[in-house]
Amino acid sequence: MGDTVGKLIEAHSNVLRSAILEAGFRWIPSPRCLAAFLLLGAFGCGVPDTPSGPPLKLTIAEASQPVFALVYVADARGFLKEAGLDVTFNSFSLGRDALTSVLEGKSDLATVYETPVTQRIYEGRDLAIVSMLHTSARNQGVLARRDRGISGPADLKGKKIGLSLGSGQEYVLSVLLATEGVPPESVTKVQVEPDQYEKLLLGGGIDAVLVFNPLQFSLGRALGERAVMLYSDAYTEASMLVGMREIVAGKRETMTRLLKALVKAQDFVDRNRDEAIRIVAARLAGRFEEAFIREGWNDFAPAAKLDNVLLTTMTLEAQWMKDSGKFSGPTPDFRKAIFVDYMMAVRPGAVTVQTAETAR
Amino acid sequence: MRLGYKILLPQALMILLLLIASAALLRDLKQQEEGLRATSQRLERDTRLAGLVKDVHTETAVEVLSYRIDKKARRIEATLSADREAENALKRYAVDVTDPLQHALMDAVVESRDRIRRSRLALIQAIDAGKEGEIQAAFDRWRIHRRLLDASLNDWSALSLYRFASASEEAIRGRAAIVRLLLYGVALAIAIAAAAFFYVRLTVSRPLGMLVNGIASFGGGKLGVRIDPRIQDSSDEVGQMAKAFNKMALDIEDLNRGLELRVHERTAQLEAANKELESFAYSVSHDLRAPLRTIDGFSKILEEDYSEKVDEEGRDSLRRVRAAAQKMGHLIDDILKLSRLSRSDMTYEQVDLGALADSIVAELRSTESTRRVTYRVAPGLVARGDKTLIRILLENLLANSWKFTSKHSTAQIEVGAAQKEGELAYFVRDDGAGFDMAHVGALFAPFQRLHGMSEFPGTGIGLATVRRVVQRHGGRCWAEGEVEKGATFYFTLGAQEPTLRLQQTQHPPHEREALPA
Repeated sequence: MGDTVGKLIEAHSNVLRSAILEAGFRWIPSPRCLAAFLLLGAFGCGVPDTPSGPPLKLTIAEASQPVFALVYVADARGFLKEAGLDVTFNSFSLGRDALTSVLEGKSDLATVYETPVTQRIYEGRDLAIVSMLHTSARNQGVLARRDRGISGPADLKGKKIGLSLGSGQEYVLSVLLATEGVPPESVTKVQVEPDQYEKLLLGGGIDAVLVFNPLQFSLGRALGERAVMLYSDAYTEASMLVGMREIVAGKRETMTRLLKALVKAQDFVDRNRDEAIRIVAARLAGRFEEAFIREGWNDFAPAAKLDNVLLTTMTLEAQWMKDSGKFSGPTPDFRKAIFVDYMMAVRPGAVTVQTAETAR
Repeated sequence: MRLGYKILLPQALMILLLLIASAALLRDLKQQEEGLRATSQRLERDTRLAGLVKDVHTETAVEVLSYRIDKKARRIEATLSADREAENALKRYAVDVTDPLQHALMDAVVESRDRIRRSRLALIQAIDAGKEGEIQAAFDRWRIHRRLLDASLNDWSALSLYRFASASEEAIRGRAAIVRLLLYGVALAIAIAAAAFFYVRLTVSRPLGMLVNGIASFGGGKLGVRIDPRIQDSSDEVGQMAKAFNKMALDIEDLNRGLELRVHERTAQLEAANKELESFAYSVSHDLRAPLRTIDGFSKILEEDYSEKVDEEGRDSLRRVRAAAQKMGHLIDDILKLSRLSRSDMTYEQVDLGALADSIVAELRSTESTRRVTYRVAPGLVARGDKTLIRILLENLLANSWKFTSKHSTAQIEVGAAQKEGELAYFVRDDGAGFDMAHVGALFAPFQRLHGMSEFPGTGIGLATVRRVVQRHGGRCWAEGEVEKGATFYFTLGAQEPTLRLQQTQHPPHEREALPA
């Protein structure tokens, strides 16, 4: 009898939970759900939000960017703590460096864009992508000086373009040039650190610079009417939480709890835009002004998911890496790097990529 | 609560509960069916739409590549038209999509389509322009857009499939839960039925049983019986009946107590009057004896000492005076006996009537030894009563039989017992002078005689004495007779001490022939 009641409660709890989480406030209680509520009340039990036992430790290397909003919100709103996690953050300026921290075993997970991950996987590193954090087609672009005769991508020919060589920016520029018919050799790539963008651009050392959201707004303010922003509609970026497969596979409970917290954070962000912006601005204070974060907020979509866009983007990038001579071997099958198990357990509807695991 | 409500309410509650549960379950089932149907229809629509978009783009790609090769716009316009229709269908459908995840994916598909439309146009323009560099760039862009569109379509289809699968799973789980809830409902209904049964048993059947038992006990004479007050406190019909019964029982008991009191008072009054009368009779009788003895004594002196001085007529008068005085003396003795009889204390014991009768007959026989009297007594004839009084009773009845058979040369006297009107009656029977049944009513009255003094002497007190003894034992007496054929005197000794025993024997009673000495 007790077992049956337990199963009944469990079944109804799952129905309720998925109904509430996935339908948001449009959820209308059905008689069955009401009965479940009554049963839950009558038996004085339910689904505890805070797991029992000591919190599980986790180290995340994060590259301070607004696109990692889900992680910041989960931390600031206490969702990580509620999930029974004790998270330590290692902060970096670039996702590439955050990923290095993971590769060196200093962090369990990194928040990072897709290009460094693609590159590392192509190198043969056994990485596992736990969840995407955002996708965007307008998060990175080329900020150019109009007064240097640049009004469109075709005008970049013969210009000096600043960027972080060896990073994803190189691929972004490459896609932009290729799809606009600008020969890559017709531009001059200049290695520029992020803190030199404004100085070099205003000083005339470079004609354009690869920037990511929301730097274009702060630089654009400095340039005023002279600024023009060029985007490529052929580039879709994605960020993700990634770790060494061995670590990820060995921390099932930790990873599941983390994803639960991220899913909660996504629901919060979807419903509380302003509050989310404030949380992110507070987290990145000193690096970005809140006004610029707010301005660029709609240019990316924070989402905990695993989809085909990620797979396609990584595959295209790998192909580009091969074509540009960075790698010579066959491009990897990135399906193997997408670790779907945990997300399937937490929010199966967010897993739309097909892998060997999803077909099981 | 009325009995009808007590029986009907639990049933009504049970039916209501089942109706509500059934309605809720039916609604739930319907919702599930509708949900599953809607999801299934969405899946079908998603699949068809994604298929349409893919087909159109594949077709368009083929046409664009053909155009690149031979610059012949064979069907480009037609495919672009189909593409526009697909785009419109997508936009129409996107309006109906409420699922936020699905909506995001739809947006991605629409956005991808916008991009690919632009890049396709750029490609065609580049082809038209004939600049290889531009064609390559446009082609690269178009190729990336196609990959991204495929990715978006795949995401969309995957989510649709997942939604359908989870809706199916939920429906299966929901049905199982409904079955379980139904089982719980049935169990609850059974529990209510059981509770109702015990409730009706406790509040209806049991009180009714107690009421019936109470009435039966009361009817059996237990006037103190009352129904449990807890039952009469109930507001239902049983409670009202119990209340009415208790009131009735109380009234009857009061009435009975009043009657007993009145009977007791009357009896006491009667007893007082009787005692007074007996005391008076005793006093009178006792006081009459002294002057009577004086009359008899002086008459005797006159007769003995002065018989020569009075003539024959005077002597006859003196004899008459003496005879009358002696008769009066006997009369007074009998009255005194009767009076004592009424006042003496009674001691109940087992009395052997046969032995008593034997001794009395023996005495009678000794006074007239020449008479031929056959005397029979039933064996084992015993009674419970006061032995002295019973002896007086038997002495009177047997003396009567002895006297009233004296004119016959032979006589039969029988002492026995028989069942009369449901009770044991003893009798003394003879075949003597008998009596006319027309006068039977006066037989047991004092001083009443049916025969002349010269024929059978006596005072007329004997049968009155018999009646008094019988009355003191709580019994009754009566007689049957016929002139010159004999008489039978019956008596009973009451029911208060009815330990009489008559041995039912098959052998004839023993006979004792009274032979002349």
